[in-house]
Amino acid sequence: MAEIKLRKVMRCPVCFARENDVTLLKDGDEYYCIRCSYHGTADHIAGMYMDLRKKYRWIQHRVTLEELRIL
Amino acid sequence: MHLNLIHRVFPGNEYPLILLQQRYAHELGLKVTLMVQIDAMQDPAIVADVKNFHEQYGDEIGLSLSLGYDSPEFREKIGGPSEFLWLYNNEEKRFIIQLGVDYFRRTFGHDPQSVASYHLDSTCQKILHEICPSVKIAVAGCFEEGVKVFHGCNNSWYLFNEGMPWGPWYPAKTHTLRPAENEADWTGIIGVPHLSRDLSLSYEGRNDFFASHPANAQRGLANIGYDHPYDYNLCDLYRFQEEFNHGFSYYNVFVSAGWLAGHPTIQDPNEVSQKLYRDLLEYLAKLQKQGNLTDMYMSEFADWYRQNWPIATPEVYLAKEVLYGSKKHYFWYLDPTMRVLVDTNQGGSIGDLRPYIGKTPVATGSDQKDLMVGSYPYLIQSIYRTGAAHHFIDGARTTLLVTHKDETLDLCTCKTRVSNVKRDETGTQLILTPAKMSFSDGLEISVETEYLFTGGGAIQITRRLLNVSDPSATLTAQEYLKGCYGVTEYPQDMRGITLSVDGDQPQRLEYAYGRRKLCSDHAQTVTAVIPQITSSMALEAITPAQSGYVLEGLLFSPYYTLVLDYNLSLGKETSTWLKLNSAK
Ligand SMILES: [Zn+2]
Repeated sequence: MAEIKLRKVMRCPVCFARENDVTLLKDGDEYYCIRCSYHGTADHIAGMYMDLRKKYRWIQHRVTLEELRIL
Repeated sequence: MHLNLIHRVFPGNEYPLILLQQRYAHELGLKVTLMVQIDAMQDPAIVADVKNFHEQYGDEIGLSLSLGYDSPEFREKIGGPSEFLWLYNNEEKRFIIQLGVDYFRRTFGHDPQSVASYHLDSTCQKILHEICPSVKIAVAGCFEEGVKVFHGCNNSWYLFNEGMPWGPWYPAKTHTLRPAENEADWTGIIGVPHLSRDLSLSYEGRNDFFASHPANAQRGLANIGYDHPYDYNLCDLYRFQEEFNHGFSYYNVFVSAGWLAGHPTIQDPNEVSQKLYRDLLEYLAKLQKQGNLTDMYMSEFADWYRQNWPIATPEVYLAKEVLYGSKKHYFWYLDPTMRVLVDTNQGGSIGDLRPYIGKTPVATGSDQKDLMVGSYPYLIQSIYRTGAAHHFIDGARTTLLVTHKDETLDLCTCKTRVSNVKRDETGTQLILTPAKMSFSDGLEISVETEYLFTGGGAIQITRRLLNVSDPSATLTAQEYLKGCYGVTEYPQDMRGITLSVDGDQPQRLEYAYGRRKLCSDHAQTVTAVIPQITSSMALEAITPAQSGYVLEGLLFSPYYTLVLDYNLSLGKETSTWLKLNSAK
């Protein structure tokens, strides 16, 4: 999967895994969550986001109208 | 496919992003409906832009009413922190709607024909129709926005709007999320949803992750930077519905400008958000040029819909899941008497059932009994209310239980898919692929399920035993329905519900969480009457049943169960009505 750039406002990847949007706060080089105990660097968070995307196994898969008919 | 592209006009720091959205749309030659807020109509520069967009490109100018009332009149009469329109009391709703219409007339010299709000309850639609009968169409609800989004915003998003149609509809007077049964029942305003939602993933999860809104998909992490095929897949999924709905399908894109830069739930850089929005519009423009999409102004679409889509026309949606790649099928059916979801991945169990035939009256507002909960109540919601058993007893759902010797198998553990959809004067026929079941003694069978949605609150459920590895085996089958009622995932008070069974030992009970079971030989009808939502639900045997029972629940399992027992034999079918009705 391609590398991606992120903005500096982050959502907690652990809360996101529960489909909850919680904005992280910053403490030095780390971000931390006030809803759960997650904390991590921007790189760690980016890695967690990419892990979360693994559930979407067709995230890079185009399904056209013709393919929908037989899907 | 028909398209409405809608941009909301409001003042402030995000205004340059609105101009960016407009530039994209106009460069691509797409028709735009502008929804202008009261606060924006007080800014001469914005008004000049809006008038110019109308004159130069033909954009329709409509009125946005969900927020943005700031004005001297509003501050004097109401003031305070801003609330969504549908949550004010009746007098305040009337004041705000009148204020919006007055500002609109003064600013643009005519009355609006199109209006937008995320939800527009029955009191709002009544007032709007009275004050401004020129309004033909309104963005008036968000499909399945409610519990899951509430949780997803750390329990802070108080918009409960579940149980509505997924496409345009004629809102009913007593509950605007219910499609009207006839002209007299209709508010006079055509409703369209806020966005076209993914009808698989908005049922399983948050509707604001999976919609005709690229930033929603970004919020759900369903893109990888500039790579976002899901946005096109969802669009094509809506186009696919034409094949089941007399050539009609509808899509709308209504993205507030704030999503294009700096939104706290979007981690992609702003240039990605803007490119994805542009990409979706480019795809829509391409479809338009190919003749596969007709873009319209909202009022133009209202005229088309009124002329071409009679009130009470049933609709279906074959939802094929296209992001996880699960190959799951869900099937949705909608008419003025019900909205129902068939979960083919669970053998064809009903996963969601809304009994519109009961015409439960609901309005939102600080002076209404329902307060902020505008949803149409369910009788079955398998995701909120347990569904198939995972830890303890099962919850709200339907299934077929097949027994051989002393072993019972549950059809919901068999994966099926949609095999065929046929629609004609008799109704909508849905046939599923055969479910294969294996008993521990080696007996193997396959069962086909057919649903026939006939209108009038009735569904005919037919089961056919297609194959048995040992034709001499004795098999029985139970048509099984476990119900409740509610609007969220929490149980409601079941006292007052009555359960009854006919047959040789006809019996009836009033629900008291007493764990009672009423059985009767040769029962042909088992019924639950739910006065709380003015509805009833029954199973009625078409093929003669051997017996039946009703089962009361308990506080740890607050449901009611309706069952009819049949013999199952090779080459024969068993048929049952699931009937909904209004009841007091
Ligand atoms: Zn967290």
